[in-house]
Amino acid sequence: MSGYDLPDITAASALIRHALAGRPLATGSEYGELFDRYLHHQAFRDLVASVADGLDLAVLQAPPTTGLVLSPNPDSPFRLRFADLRPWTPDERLVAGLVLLGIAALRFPREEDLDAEGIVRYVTVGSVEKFMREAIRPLAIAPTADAKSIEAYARSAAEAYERMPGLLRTEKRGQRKRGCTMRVIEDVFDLLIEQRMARRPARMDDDTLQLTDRFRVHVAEIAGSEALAVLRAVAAQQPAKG
Amino acid sequence: MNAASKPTDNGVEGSRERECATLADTPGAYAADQMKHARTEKPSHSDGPDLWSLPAMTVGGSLDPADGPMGPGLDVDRASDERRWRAQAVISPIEQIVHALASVQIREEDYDARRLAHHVVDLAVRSMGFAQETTTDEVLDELAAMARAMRPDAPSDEWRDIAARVFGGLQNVSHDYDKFRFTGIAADGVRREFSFRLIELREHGDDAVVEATSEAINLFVSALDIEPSNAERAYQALLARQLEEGHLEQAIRTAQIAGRASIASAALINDAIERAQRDVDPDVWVSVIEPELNESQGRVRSRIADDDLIYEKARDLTDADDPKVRAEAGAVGEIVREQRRIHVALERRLVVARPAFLDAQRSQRLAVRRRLRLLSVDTGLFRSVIELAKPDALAVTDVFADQALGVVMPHLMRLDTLIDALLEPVVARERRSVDLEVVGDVDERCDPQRFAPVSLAAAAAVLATAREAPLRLSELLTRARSAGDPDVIVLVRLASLFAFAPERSDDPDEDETRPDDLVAGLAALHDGAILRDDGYAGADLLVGSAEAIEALPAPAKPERKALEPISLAVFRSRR
Repeated sequence: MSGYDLPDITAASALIRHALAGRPLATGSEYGELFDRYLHHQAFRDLVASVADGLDLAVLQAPPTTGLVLSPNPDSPFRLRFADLRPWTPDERLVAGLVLLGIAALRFPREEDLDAEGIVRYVTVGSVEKFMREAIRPLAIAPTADAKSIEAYARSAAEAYERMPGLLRTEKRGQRKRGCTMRVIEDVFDLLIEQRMARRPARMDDDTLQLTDRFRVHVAEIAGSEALAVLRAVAAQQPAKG
Repeated sequence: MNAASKPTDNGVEGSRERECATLADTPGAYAADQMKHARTEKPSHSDGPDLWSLPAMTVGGSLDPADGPMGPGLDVDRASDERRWRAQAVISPIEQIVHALASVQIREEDYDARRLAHHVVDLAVRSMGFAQETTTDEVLDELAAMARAMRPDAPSDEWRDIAARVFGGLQNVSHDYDKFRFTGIAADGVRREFSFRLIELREHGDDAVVEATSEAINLFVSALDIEPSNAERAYQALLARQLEEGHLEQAIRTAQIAGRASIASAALINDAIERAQRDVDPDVWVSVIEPELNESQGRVRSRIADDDLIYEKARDLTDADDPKVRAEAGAVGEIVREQRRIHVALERRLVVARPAFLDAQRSQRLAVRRRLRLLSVDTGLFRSVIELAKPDALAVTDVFADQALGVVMPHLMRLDTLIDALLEPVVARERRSVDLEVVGDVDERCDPQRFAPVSLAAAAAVLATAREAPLRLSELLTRARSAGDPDVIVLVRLASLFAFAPERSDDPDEDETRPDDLVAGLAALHDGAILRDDGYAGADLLVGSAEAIEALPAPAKPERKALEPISLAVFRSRR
């Protein structure tokens, strides 16, 4: 039996509760104090990791400005389900997956970008659409050894992207309509906001998104993907943007 | 029942072999019989049919061939009836003791002779087997102590006298220590004698020790409400004796029943442990549960020792020359080993029972006690909150919403698995062709979800009058009522409301909802007039053509009474 007592376990559980709720870190708040303890006490860090493990969660990183970034294990009750997503058509699903990869590649084109904490990165529906249209060609011709690899899937997603029109608008209100890639990008933006991986910056139009550090941590987890590498190669040729 | 305890010499053990079948329905009765069987030499004679010798069908409808050849058995109902009769007879000696005490001026209110008699049986059963057996002096001392507790102010001679009378009564001392004898008369007129002893004495060195007879064990195990742990002990005693005397077939059956008694006993102890975790009141723990668990622990340890002893005995027999004996001894050994496993597991549970209690108590201390209260949302929440300033109101409504919604589990996105899942091609499933039932043309007049065309036409006629010049909703409802069709009233009201607030889809992909023909070109205005109607309440809208309504002057906004903000503390104090 280790030297933990009940208040320690309660504190570790409370820290995970705050992290799950996605609350912002605030000095003097319970979350802030617990996170400070997490950063400075190895034993408490181990305890938090154990409690998270018991909940089928993994602690990905703990950036000082963001707090605890948790990720659900594949069978965790906290995992995002398809039922939580928009009712996309099969093609829209493929496009959405590719858009997520595209946003990651567009704003984190180099390895060192993944280590740069706290840098504000904006992304817009238009910039993503433009980037994806440029990237799908190299992606479609990228060699893949395994037909069931994620790279092969990305290739078929690129074909779906190419098939889908960029923009369709509703007749009356002129909003983006289902069945176009820009509407899917908009949906993906909403998903990132729900997951606190992005936020709508104040005094900017609705098409602009500010990626949070949480998104950077998650992108670092997929840094080894071949499909991401192809997209990042395309992105690296573009002029750097904030 | 024709009961008599007259001493006679006509022994009835002649048909003991068949007693098993008679008693096999109940484990306790079977064990009681086997106990007797193990201790008694097979008699050489029989003096006629008695109750024990009657072959009875077992519950399952079969007779045990091991019990020997038998005549036609009683049917299940008769056998059950006879068993009930015997159960009654077995306790009769105790009732006789009560009456005998009354005849010598010892009042029932002073001493509980039944309890004293039960205690003798308990002592005899519990001491049988392996541990030190109970001597007659010890029994008398125990009974005198109990009698003293029942009437502390009586002289000590009286306690000893009571003890001797009860102990003597159980041995049928008034009939020269003979068996108790009763005669049962069945429904068919057949008389059957039933004779038995409850207590027997056996020489043990310079002393005499008390033994319970089969009937006493029957009394102990099945005729009365007994504790399974004691039954378990009785079976183990019986089993040991059967092994010693080489009755291995019976020993196997006894071992099986003893195993069941072990499980029953384990269930009781487990229940006590569960209770310890549920009811974590320290007073209850100290006064009730802890002593109970300690006692159980002692008993289980004693059972483990007994198991070891029986196992040893069974193992000794596995060296026998006779292969049948070896096989039967092996079977007994296996059963006892399983029994021991149950006891060891139980002991382990008992050992950890105390920490389990402490944990349960600690978690109860940590839990916040919550008071359950029924809430009237209207008066308790809405009306109260509306008087509050926004920040104070939010403090209340946020808490209410959180509690009312219950636990909301956040679903976190994991970028890598989500991308994989999204990009993975959807497997196209072949649609199975389904033969659709041909319904034919639907008669719209029969559709209960639709208004009848005649009602629609009547409502349109009423609304057409409003198109000529704007009319109040109250006037339109009056005209609708004159049509004599309730649907017309509903349609006019719905059309007026729709004209006031046309429904629009929130889905940007869809165009605005097209108004029905009924309300096409209609508009409505709320100018502050209140609807006075028997069926409806709300605004008395002005309904007319869109142009006519547009041309009307905009109604003056009603002056709103500014709400006086109050603090949450003031609100609470008012309540």
